[in-house]
Amino acid sequence: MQSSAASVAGAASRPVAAHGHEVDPSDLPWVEGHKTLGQVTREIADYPMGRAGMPGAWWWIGLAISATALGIGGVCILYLMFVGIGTLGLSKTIGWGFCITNFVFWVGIGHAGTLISAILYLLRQRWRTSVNRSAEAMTLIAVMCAGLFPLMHMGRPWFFFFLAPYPNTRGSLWMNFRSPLVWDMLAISTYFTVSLVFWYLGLIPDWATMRDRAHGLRKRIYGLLSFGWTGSARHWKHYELVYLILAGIATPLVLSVHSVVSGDFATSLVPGWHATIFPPYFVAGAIFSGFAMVLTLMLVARKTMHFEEYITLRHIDMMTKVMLFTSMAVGLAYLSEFYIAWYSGDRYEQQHFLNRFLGPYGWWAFIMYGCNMGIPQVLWFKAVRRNLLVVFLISLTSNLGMWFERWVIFVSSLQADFLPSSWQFYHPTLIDYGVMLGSFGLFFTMFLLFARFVPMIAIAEIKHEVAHGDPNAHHGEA
Amino acid sequence: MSGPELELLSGGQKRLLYGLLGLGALALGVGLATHSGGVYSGILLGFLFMLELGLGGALFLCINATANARWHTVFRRVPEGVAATLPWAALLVLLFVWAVPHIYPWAAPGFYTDPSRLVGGVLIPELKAKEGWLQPGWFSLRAVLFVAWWAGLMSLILRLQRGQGLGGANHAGAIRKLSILFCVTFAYTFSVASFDWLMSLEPRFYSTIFGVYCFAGVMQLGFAVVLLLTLFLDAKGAFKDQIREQHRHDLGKWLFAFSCFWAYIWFFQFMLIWYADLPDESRYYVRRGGLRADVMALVVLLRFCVPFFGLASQKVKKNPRILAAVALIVVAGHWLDLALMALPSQAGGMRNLYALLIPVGTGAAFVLLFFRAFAKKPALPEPDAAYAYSRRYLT
Repeated sequence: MQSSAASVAGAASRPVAAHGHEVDPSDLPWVEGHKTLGQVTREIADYPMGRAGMPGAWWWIGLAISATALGIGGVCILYLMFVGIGTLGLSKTIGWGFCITNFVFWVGIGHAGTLISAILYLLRQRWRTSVNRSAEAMTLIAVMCAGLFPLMHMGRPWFFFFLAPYPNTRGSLWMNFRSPLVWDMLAISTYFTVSLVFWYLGLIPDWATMRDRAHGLRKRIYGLLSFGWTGSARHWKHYELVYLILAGIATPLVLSVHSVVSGDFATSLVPGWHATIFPPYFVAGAIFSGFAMVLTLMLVARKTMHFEEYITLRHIDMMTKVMLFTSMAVGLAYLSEFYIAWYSGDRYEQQHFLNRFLGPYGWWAFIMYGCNMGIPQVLWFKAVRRNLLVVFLISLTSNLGMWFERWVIFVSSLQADFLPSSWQFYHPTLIDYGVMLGSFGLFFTMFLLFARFVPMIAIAEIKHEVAHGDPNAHHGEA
Repeated sequence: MSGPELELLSGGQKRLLYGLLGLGALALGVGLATHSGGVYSGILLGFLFMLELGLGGALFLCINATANARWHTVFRRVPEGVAATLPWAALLVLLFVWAVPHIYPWAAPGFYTDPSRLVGGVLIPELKAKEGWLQPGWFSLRAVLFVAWWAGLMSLILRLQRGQGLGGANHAGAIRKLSILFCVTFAYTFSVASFDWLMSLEPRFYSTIFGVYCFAGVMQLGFAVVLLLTLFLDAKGAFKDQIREQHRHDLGKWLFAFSCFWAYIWFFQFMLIWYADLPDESRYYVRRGGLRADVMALVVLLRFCVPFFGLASQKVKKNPRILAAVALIVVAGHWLDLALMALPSQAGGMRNLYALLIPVGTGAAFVLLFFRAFAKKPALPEPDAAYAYSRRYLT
């Protein structure tokens, strides 16, 4: 068997060599600039160590703006707590408004991190290494932002623990396991926990790198954070195994979380909410918006932190392709909804979609469909995918479109339901806007703190992409 | 390919396949001669089973080409051979189209004017939209166009694929573009086709996820059938031991992943319909989960439980015997799933021998056509630049 395999190998390799095939682009190292391993460590670790002109002026400006937004949001939340949820623009017709929209928006943003860290890892997509750390951090922060909204909306958030199933002194007052809101709580807390463990696990070797470069108190702190990592072969063996298992565990979470969130709506009978396609539709939308946010953040970070050789145009090309794919998937779901609304002959469903376009909130729908299904089509062109300004703008319109998607689905469905006498508008109040601003403030503040104190790129992993780390890189015959 | 022609199928295997093909043809003939009601749903299932087997291979090729994947090049002739059966399956569409008036309730004359469907002399709104859409002529035209598009585009891709690397020709760019075109158009056309061919069997039933559900089934079937045929041919020595543990492991992983994806879509369609309990939707599951819970449970067992628990371990995913057994079970599960979607609304319900024998016949035809296509080309696409990578890649 050996000899026959070798003879075939010899025969096969000759034409390849004879035609002088250039190296397949996907075999090129993902990090540019022929860096040495020490250079990689320095260039990434120096930022959190405060050695590379970090934090620069842009960081302070960004922090000032986002912390102000966070402060405004904090004041609004306090006001909301003291006065009650009547300060929001809710009514008996539209019982869910800004809060649920922001909740789903932020949960969706988180999905890119899990997709990059888990699914792309299992698919051996090596380009993920340049962005996985920050995408995972973004996931954690986004889930925190999302978690704020159901809490605020409870009216009495100090009783949030009633949602946990534990033997209690409240008699038969248990949570209703058939409520999708309870599934939400369970799905999202699982998601947060697994994402946090996954993110932290990846950080352990990097904390050790930082420890070895620091002195004094810093050294101790990094030492504690690294759990005494020595980089021995045994450590690496266990690390790789746990990382793979966690990737496997996190993979179903990419699908489950937003599927459960979509269940909040799809289990109901409200026209525009009840559609069986909601779970995969929401997941595709979440990945679309998540990649849009990753691009928004990474395009700024690579410029300001000089990571152009780590997050290259090829990386951006890959991410925009994922966006194009998920935009098409969302588009297919949109069209399936229209088709079935027409096909089923359900008058309420048909009325809802007519109202969505031609009703008082019609322009929302045009933002939603235009930004999510229309504009991303320009990403078919390579020239567009490699034009950073255009990609940045598309990442912004996609985020806008995805916010409006949730807004359209949730609010325009409630606004005009079965009973025309109860049709009503939603008028967001200043508190609505303030709380939303606060969530953006929290998101960017946390992300800036992350960029300041944690290595933005996984140092240990990215070294595989520098030169000789890849087992498939050489095409010479064995 | 140098060396003696490989005897891919033994005499006994060939006889068995021709026997099964004959059995299917006999069942069809007897059914048509005796005007048996069950034969028409047998035609539907036979057509869909063979078509979806071919589509599974086509999707396997196109998705890999779209993603610039090279890992599968060593056994790429297998999905190519699977996809090469598409034109033959496409011919079956003519038989299907002929049978449409006997299969679909809305195709019966007088369906839209039946007094039980009129209120105040006007057709009920639930059927209003379908009056123009679900008409035998227009329905059949759509079916023919869809199948012709898939088979035609795939033939073009296969023709380019055949010449790939020969005499320095490099069609990778064109193959990739056509594959992307196939994937994008397939998503839309196949959704409509699923709504047409299976969902409209119960004209008042609707589910937006139905197209995705059928797609998930075809994907799982595609990986199972490519895996099965690759392992069979490898055992015969067709690939000169170039199929490594790595290839088996990756194929096993894909089958595992798409079994989970199928279950995910299955669960949410069921759960959301059960939860909302709208009459037009839940009637679908009352007919299946309520009346044939045994068959429904069996479908989930074959399509999800067996591959999920069977392939969870890494060791098993490298073991050709177990992989082949699981893949075979998944293929059987796909047939049962199709039967459970199609038969409960038909005359005779699930007790329909034609719905077993005719798909067995078309399935045998598929296997014979596959081997015919496979034997025409060298088993290993050695001139292709991606071949060297596929032969030795590691993960």
